[in-house]
This record gives sequence, structure tokens and C-alpha cells, in this order.
Amino acid sequence: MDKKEPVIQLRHVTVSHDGHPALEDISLTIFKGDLLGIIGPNGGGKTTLLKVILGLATPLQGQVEVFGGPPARNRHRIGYVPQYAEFDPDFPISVEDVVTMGCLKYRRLNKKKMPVCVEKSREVMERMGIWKLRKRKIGGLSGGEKQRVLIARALAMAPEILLLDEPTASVDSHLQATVYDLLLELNQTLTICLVSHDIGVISAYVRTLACLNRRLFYHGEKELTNEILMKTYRCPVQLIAHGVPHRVLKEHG
Amino acid sequence: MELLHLEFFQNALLAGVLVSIACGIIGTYVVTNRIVFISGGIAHAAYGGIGLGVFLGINPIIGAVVFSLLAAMGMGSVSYNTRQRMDTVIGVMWAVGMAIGIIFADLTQGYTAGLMSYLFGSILTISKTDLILMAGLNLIILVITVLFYRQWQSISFDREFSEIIGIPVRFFYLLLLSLTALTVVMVMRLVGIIMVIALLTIPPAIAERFCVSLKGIMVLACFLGIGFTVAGMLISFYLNLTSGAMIILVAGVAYFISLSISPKEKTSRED
Repeated sequence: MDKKEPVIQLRHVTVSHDGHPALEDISLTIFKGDLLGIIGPNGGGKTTLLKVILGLATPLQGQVEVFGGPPARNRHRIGYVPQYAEFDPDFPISVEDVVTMGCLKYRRLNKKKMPVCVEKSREVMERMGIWKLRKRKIGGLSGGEKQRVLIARALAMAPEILLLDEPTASVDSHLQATVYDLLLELNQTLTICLVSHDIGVISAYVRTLACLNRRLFYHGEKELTNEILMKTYRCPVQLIAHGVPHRVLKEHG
Repeated sequence: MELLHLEFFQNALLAGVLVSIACGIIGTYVVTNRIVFISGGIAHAAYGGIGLGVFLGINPIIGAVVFSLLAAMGMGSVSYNTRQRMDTVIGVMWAVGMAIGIIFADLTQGYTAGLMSYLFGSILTISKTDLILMAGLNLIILVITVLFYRQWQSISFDREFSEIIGIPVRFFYLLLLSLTALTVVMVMRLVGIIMVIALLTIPPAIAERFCVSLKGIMVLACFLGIGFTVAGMLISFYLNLTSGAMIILVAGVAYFISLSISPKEKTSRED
């Protein structure tokens, strides 16, 4: 991955929800092999940004390119890992069936391909350490296990990019590091972009950072200054760090 | 058991079985997709079609099918595009459908008391033709469910992800609502418009507590539905009470009993 090849490009993208701007004039390029963390406060447009990249939300202005084409055409090459919190916790579905969804790329969905799909699902479930949970209902798992199931589903798509929405939101704090370790490992072969409001942990792991609060305040190496954080969060950082001793970002740089 | 030799009772039992199968399958999707009240709206909107059918002197079921399909498409499009105020739209269609039916009944010359049988159901009026239609609809539902099980499972669990992997989500959602509409018309003959959603939702709601997959819920819900309809019909016959209401009462009692039984695996374990 010596040559910097752009995989996702946003140019002057503006999105509005019912007349209120959710994203304003966002220009962002994600390169092949990146491990990008997008941080910003809740309601700062992080999930909207992911939806724009996936073609689930249409920008009012600006262009989005995924692998050089429109998102709707190429989004099947992106493994999306949504927040489990948005699902119906009682939905009757086994871990196995959730993971298998990932390889059901619609046009290839037929009986002949099913064994290939089952094999692929088995492979990613073993890799994520959830093979023994495969018959369990996803709603009955712990937060960390659910996250692994959703990552496994994305990996079953055989994606080139992994897009994660708050990957540690429902994970116990002492297990969050294991999720990030996993992402570091996956980054050896995959481009990864994740969004989070948790600047503390995220900055210790990612290679590049972007700060988003409706506008993109910073994008680059993770030498963040308090000034940028002030602009992004519009409040002293200590307040949003929820009492966690304020990590000095530069130490991890 | 001289009852079983009566033709109307044979028809009613057979209708109960057919309706229960359709309800078990479609009801499972209705419950897991949280479209119980859209189904109620569809059922009540269908009454407008029944009124129109009676007014025009055609088979009211044809009117009910047309109205329920239109209501399904209308509510489906609104609920697909916006998440807000869906309950208002459902409520309006629900009431307007009923109002249209009542006005058409007023405008119809002569005997219109038969319209009541659509509100409360009437197993006495189920004919051979009804049974053939029900069997045909069951066949369609079974074929579509088997063919598209994975797609519907995927859409019901995570609509956005399904869209990303290229499943035509909107098409399948509207197809589901159309089948719901047809099922509702079918159930209407048995238990009546007012009680349709009970038969559609109670069996899957009970089954859901004991199964891990949609497939399992569907199978268990079909058997529960058959049990409720047969038991309800027998009780109503011997006690000379309204059969549709008795079926729902039996189902309702079973539902409340099931709430007190704790399933083998508690699903709400969180860490």
C-alpha cells in the first residue's frame, strides 16, 4: 500500500434534514489502507456522513464517489457495521443467520452459491471467535459479542472498506481495547473508517483523525490541539471526556 | 361428534385451518416488522370496499380486496418514506374506510344486515368458493415465503444493510403489505374486521417467546392458530355464542397464560 489510492471521496458535500443542515461543505478523502477515526459530538452528523458514503442519504450539494463511482453502485464493496442499539433487541434471529446476511449480495443469491456463503460465514465466525455462539439469538449476547457478530457480518461481504458506527458504544469499557485491537489487525488488509464521540480511546488507535461537527474541522495526522477540539465540540474537552482523565493526544502520536 | 357431519361446520373448520396457516406466516412478519397497526388500518379500510361491493351488487369480497390493497400501498408508501406521524395516517385511513362502508350501506336499497357479518365474522356463510380462494392464497403465501425467506428475514432485521447488499427493499416491503392485505380479507370472513389483528398477532406473539428463528415462530404460530380457531368454534357451537369472538377469547387467554410461562432462555441478558 505504498501508493496513495483514494477509495472514498467527498467534495463539498452538504446534507440537510428537514431544512436543518446536518453536514455543511464536507470535503474528505479516504485512501486505501487508511485507519481513519472521525470524532465529534453526538448530533454532529457522524452517522449522516456514513449514510452519505453508503448512498442511504442523498446530499443536497456536492459529490460523493466510492471507488470512483456513485455510492449506490459500489457500496456492496463497503462492509457497514451499524450500532446495535438501533435494532429491535427481541428480534428472533440467530448469530449464524445475521452473519450469513453479509454474503447474500442480492444478484448472486441463488441455491448454488449458498454452500459458498455458508462456508464464508463459518470462516468469519471462527475468525471473530463467535462460532460457538452461532445458534444463539443475537439479542441474548453481551455488547461485545454483538459487536463481533456485526463485524463478522460485514466481513462476510468480503469488503475492501470497513465502516463502523460507534464500534464500542455498547461494549464494556474494559473490553473496548479488544475491539480496537481487532480493528488494528483487520487494518492490515482493509481500509477502515470509524466514527465515535469517544476521543480518548479512538485517538490512541487510529492513524488519522477527522473532527466533525456539522463541518469538518480537521483532517490529518492525529496531532490534535485543544483549539481544534474546542471548535469541534464547542466546549472544554474535559467536559465531554466524562471524567476520564484527559488523555494527552500527542503522547500516542 | 355429529357436528363434523354438518357441511357448514366442515367448511368452517377447514377455513379455520387455512386462515391459521396464512396468519401464522404473515403474522410473524407483521409482529417482527411492527406493522400490527398498519394491518388493523388495512382491515378497517377494507370495510369501505365491502360497502361499495354491496352498493354495486357485486361480491363484497372483491371490493374488500381492492380497498385493502389500495390501503396497503398507500400506508406502505407513506411509512416507507417518512417515519413520522405514521400513526395519524393509519388512524385516518382506518376511520375513513369504515365511514365509506357505512355510507354505501345507507345508500343501498333493501337488506344490508349482512354487512354485520363482515364486522364480527360469520363461519356460517363460508362457502366452497371461499375455501378455494383461501387455499389459493395460502399457496401463494407459502411459495413466496419459501422463495424469499432470506430476503424478508434480512429486511425485517436490518433494512439499511439489506439495501446496501442490493435487496430491492421497497419492493419486498410492499409485497409483504399486499400479502398482509389479502390475508386480512381472508381472516375477516372468519373472525370479522374488528378482530382481525388479534388472530394475526397473538399466535406469533406467543410463539416468539419460545423460538429463535422466524421459521420456528411461523410453524409454531400456525399450530397455535389452528388450536385456537378449532377450540373457539367448538366452544361457541356448544354454548351458542359468537364464534369469531370466542376464537379471539381463547387466543387472548392463551396469550396471557404464555406471559406467565418463562421461556427456556432469557433473552434480555446484558452486560
